[in-house]
Amino acid sequence: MSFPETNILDTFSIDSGPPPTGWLFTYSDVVATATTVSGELLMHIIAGGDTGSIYWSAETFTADQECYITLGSTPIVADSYGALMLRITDPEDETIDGYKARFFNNLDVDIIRISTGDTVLSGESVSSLATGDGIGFRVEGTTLTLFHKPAAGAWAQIAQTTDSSVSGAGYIGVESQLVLE
Amino acid sequence: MGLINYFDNFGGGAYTSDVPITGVAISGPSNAGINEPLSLSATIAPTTATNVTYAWEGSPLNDGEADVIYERVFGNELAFDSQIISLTASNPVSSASDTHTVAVWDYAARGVIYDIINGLSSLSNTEKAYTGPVYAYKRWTALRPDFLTLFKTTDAASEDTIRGFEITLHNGNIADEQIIFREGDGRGGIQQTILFNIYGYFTWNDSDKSEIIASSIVNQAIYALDRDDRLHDGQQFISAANAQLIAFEPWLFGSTLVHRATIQQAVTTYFYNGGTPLTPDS
Repeated sequence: MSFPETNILDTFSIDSGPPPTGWLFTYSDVVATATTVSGELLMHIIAGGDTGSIYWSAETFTADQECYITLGSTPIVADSYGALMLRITDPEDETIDGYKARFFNNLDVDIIRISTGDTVLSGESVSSLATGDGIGFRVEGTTLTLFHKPAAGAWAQIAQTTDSSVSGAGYIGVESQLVLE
Repeated sequence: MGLINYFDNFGGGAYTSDVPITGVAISGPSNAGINEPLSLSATIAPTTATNVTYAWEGSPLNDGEADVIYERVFGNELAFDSQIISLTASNPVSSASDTHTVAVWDYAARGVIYDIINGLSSLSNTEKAYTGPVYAYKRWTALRPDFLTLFKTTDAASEDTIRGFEITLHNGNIADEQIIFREGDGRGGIQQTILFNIYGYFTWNDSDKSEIIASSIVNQAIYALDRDDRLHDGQQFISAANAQLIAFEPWLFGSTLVHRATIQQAVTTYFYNGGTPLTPDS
């Protein structure tokens, strides 16, 4: 099984500004200025407890889907994470649902169900995270898989779990959060 | 301190291991008759494409088959003209489309016979010069000059001549009729043997030995009818008899002396037994 099987959707190739056409903020992005583009990179600037969260609104994808992103930096603040999201439904409503793969600054990774009170489905760790690395997330049927690719390496599976709670088509997205302890 | 995360090159979308479709082709008859079931088949390429859904005329019917048979019954609410049947084959990673044009007649065999006579390809140049318009039905006009014009051509000597073919139903055209239950799905219907008369008109020209030329054309028409798979392979029609030349005679076409050949072609076909035509997936 190879990863990824899909194409790049956005290279964020503008100098600065709000997320480009095709992106919208999710319900979780409570500070509209938290997510911008700067220096041709997607940027999340987040205070404690806040979330920068956008979804690719240009299209929904059928149930078996994947997304991936290249790290322009790593989460450097304790208790912060970046995340990829799949099968998102009701993205701009409090009933937002779907799956999320998170990667923390302490190299923990996990897969969670997005719902009222996120449910952790699987937890693992990755040996390193560095600028230029790739993070990928795929859901096929009830199988959720998290991938990592070192900047100069190949994609490898890091975590996998199964869940049948969210089964249909949906959006994909990317998120960052600084968790309040 | 806040968090600053940077990301680049976001990708993603529908993921599947399905083999994409590169093409789909419809095959089947190009002539249909009212209440005569028309069967078309789709062939997908490559045959290894997976999770294929076929939408004939916009209606999803069959999933997951490499080749799909589609049956369509034209009702008499249709105009007698060309109907385009569309097919889109899709799977999660690709799609392909094709269209198939069908000419709708009272009897599909009329269209097939027309195609055969109109497409005679074995004629010599001399014979070709003795052919004229081919009509799929009996022609008539209120005024005789107009009628003659329908068959009037100009020969090599720039003289007007009468040439051409007409395909029409024989008097008492249904030679046989039975109630049957079709092989395969056991569906009830009527089997009819339809008699067609194919009239050929060839201006009499003694210096050209026109009888010999006309006779040769007629023989080749009979040969083409007898050898045509569309009539005889048992796919679209139950069976077809060999064409018969039942008359070759002098005939006054208006005031013009012609050779008139009468070829009779019997075709046995299957009709749904009246009522509302079946929907494609019934």
